Amino acid sequence: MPDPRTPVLTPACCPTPEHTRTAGAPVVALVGNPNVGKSTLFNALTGARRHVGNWPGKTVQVARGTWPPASGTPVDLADLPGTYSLVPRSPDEELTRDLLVDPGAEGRPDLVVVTADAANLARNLYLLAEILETGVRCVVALTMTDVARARGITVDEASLARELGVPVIPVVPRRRQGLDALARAVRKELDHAVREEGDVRRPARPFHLAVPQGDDPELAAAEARYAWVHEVLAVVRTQRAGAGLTLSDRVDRVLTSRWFGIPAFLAAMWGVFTATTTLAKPLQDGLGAFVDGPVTDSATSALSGAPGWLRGLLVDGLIGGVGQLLTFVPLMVIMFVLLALLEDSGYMARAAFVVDRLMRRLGLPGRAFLPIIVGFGCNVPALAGLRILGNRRQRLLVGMIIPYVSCSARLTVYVLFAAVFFGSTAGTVVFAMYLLSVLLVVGIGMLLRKTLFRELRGEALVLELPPYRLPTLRVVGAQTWQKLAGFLRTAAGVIVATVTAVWLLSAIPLGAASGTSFGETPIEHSVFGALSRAAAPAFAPAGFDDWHAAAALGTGFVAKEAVVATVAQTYSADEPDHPDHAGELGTRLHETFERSSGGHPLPAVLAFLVFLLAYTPCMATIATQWQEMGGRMTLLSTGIQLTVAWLLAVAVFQIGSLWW
Amino acid sequence: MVSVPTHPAAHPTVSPLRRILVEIHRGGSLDDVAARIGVAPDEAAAMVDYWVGRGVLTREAVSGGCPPAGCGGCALRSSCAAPGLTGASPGLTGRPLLHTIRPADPPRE
Repeated sequence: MPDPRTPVLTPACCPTPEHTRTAGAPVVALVGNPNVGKSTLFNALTGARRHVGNWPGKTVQVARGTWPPASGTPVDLADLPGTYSLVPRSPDEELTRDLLVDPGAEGRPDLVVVTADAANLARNLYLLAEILETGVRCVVALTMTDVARARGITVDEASLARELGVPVIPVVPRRRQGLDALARAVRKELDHAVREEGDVRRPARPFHLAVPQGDDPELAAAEARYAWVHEVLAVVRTQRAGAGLTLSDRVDRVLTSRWFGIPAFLAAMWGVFTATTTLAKPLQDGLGAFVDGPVTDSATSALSGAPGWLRGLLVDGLIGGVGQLLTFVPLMVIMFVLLALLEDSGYMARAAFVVDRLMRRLGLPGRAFLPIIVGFGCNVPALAGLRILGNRRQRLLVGMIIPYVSCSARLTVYVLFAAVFFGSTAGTVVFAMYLLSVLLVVGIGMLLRKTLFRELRGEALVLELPPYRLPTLRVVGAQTWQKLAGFLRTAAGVIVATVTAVWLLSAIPLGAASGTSFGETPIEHSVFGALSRAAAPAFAPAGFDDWHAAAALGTGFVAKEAVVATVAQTYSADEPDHPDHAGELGTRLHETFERSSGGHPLPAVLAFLVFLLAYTPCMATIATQWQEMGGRMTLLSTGIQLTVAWLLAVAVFQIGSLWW
Repeated sequence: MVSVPTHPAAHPTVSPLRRILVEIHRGGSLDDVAARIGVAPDEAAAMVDYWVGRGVLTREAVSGGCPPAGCGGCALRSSCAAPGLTGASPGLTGRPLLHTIRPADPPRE
C-alpha cells in the first residue's frame, strides 16, 4: 500500500498518469476559501506564465502556470477552485476534493499551498483541518495580515506553524511581500519530500477524529474539527485590548442598536429627502420654465395652423405631461445618488437589519423585509419577489401589505404638491409620507396577522452584515443610471398612453356640450370631465371635491407616473386660450384646494397625498397580485386599500382642518 | 437526519455546531449568534458554511427579488427600475451585500 504522502512528480505540460513519477516539474496546487486572495497570489507567483484550461478528464477550468520557487526545477502551479470544505457542493469543489482526497487522482498535487485569510482564520482552519487529514504535504500562505492588523488581530505565525505541523508564511501578494519566503518554504518541502519520504510531519495538536461517534459520523467529525479550530485559535490568535471592535463594529453599535437603530434610519431618510428637495428645487424650476416657456411656445407657434384637437394632444397633452415629468429628472438623480451612496457604503444592509428586527418583534415574517425594501423602488418586482417566501400564507400576507410601500413613482406627486403648498418644509412633508408608508405597512401587517393570518408563526432568520466601505463612483453611477433609466422608460410609456387616453376622452363631448364637435369641447364637458366630476363628490369629506383631483387619482389608478402629467394636462387644457397660465400650475392648484376645502387647503392637500399613498399603486401591481395571490385575495386587497385610503384621507382632513 | 437540540440551555454539553441551529431561530445578526454560542464571529460563519453544505441552512445574498440568473431571465426587465439592495445587474458587482441565513425551505406548497 503506497503512502499517500509519497510525492507524485508530474510534468507541467501534460499531467497524465503515464508521466507520473518521472523526473520533471512537480505539481503545486493553490487551495483555499473563496475571496482570500488565492488568485491574486497565483497571479503574483506566475506573472505572465499562465494559461486557463480544463483539468484533464474534467470540465472544470483551472488556471495553471509555471512558478520558479527559489532555485531548481520550476513547478507547475494550479489555482484550484475556492472551497470552504472538502465536502463538495459543485463540480469545481468536487475537483478540489478529488485531487486532495483520492491518492490515485490524475494530476494529484505533490504539495498544496493553502491560502488562509488571517482576518477570518476560523473559516480557513476548518478547510485546513480537512486537508491535513488527507495527508497531503502542505504550506500555509497567510494572507490579509494587514486587514487583520487593522482590526487589532494578531496571528502568531510560529505558533500556528507549530499547531498545524506545517510551515506558515505571511504574504501580501499585491505588494509581492513574502513571496520569496513562500518559494523557499515550498522548495524545502518538496526537497524534504523527495529525500525523506518516511518523515511525516505531525501537528502539535492531534485531531480527535479517529473514531467518529454517534449516528452521524460526518457531523461528529465536523464537531471534532470545529473544536480543534477553536483550540488552535485560542493559542495563535490574539486581539489587541480595546481593538476587538472594528470601526464597523463601533458604528454598528449605534446604527443597529435597539434604541437608536430606528431613529438613525429615520434621520438618514429625512436627510435624503430634505437634501433631495432642497438641492433639486432650482434645477427643477429652471427646467420647468424651459418646458413651459421656449418649448411650449415653439410647439404652439409651429402648430399654429394645425387643428385644435392636434394642438391639444401635442402641446397640452404630450409636451405638458411629459415635460412636467422631465422636470423631476434632477430630483430623481439626486435621490438615487444619495440612496446609492447609503447602499454602497453598507448602511442599507443595517437599515434592513433594523427593519427586520422591528418586523419580527411585531410578529411579521422575517423575510418580509426583502420585498418591502424592493417596494420602495417599485411595487411590481416586490410582488414578483414574493416567490422567495416558501410559505403560501406568508406570501399572501406580505403581498397584501406591499402596495402600502411608497414607490418612487409616488415621489413625484409628493414633491409637486409639497413644493407648491409647503415651500421650504417640502422635504419634511415627503419624509412624513414615507414614514406614514412604513407605519401603514406595519399597522396593516399587524392587523392582517391578528385577523386573517393568525396561524402564521415567526421564521428563523439571521443576517450577515457586510463591513462598511467607501462608496465607489463606478457603482454609485451605475446604480443611479440604472434606476433613472428604468423610471424614465416606464414613465415615458405610461405617460404617452395615458395622456393619449385622457386626451381622447376629453375630446369627446357629453351632455351640455353635445352640440360641440370632437376635439373642440371644453374638457369639463367631455366624457373625461364628466367621469371625473361624477367621482369627485366621494372626496368631499376629505376636502378635495374637485374634478381635477379626481381625474389625477383616476389616471393614478393606472400608474402613479401619470398623475403629474394629468394634473398638468387638465389645468393646461382647462383654459387653452390662456397659454400664459401654463406656468402657473402652482397658483391653479392653490385655487382648487382653497375652493374645494372651504378654506383649509393644507389639510386637504395632505389628505390628497395620504389617499394617493394608500390606494391601489397601479394596474401592474393588480396584475402581479392576481398572478401571485389569485383573484379573490387581489380583490380583497384592493378593497382594503381603497377603504383604508379613503378613511385616512377623511381623518387627516377632518382633524387637520381643526387647526389649519 | 441531523439531530438538533430544542434549546441550548437544556443541553449545556451540546456542541456549538449544533447550538448554532437553535440560535438561528432567535434571529439577529451572525455576530449576535456567535456571542450567544461563545465562539468568534468567523467561527460562527464557518459553522454556517458547514450546515449550508449539508443543505440544512441556506445563505443568500439579498437579491431584491431578482432572479438568481440575473436580469436576463426576468420578465420584468423592461420595466424594472432595478430597485432593492443588490439587483442582479451587471456593473454592480462588488457592493457590500447583506446575506440572510435561515433553515432551508421545505418543499414549496
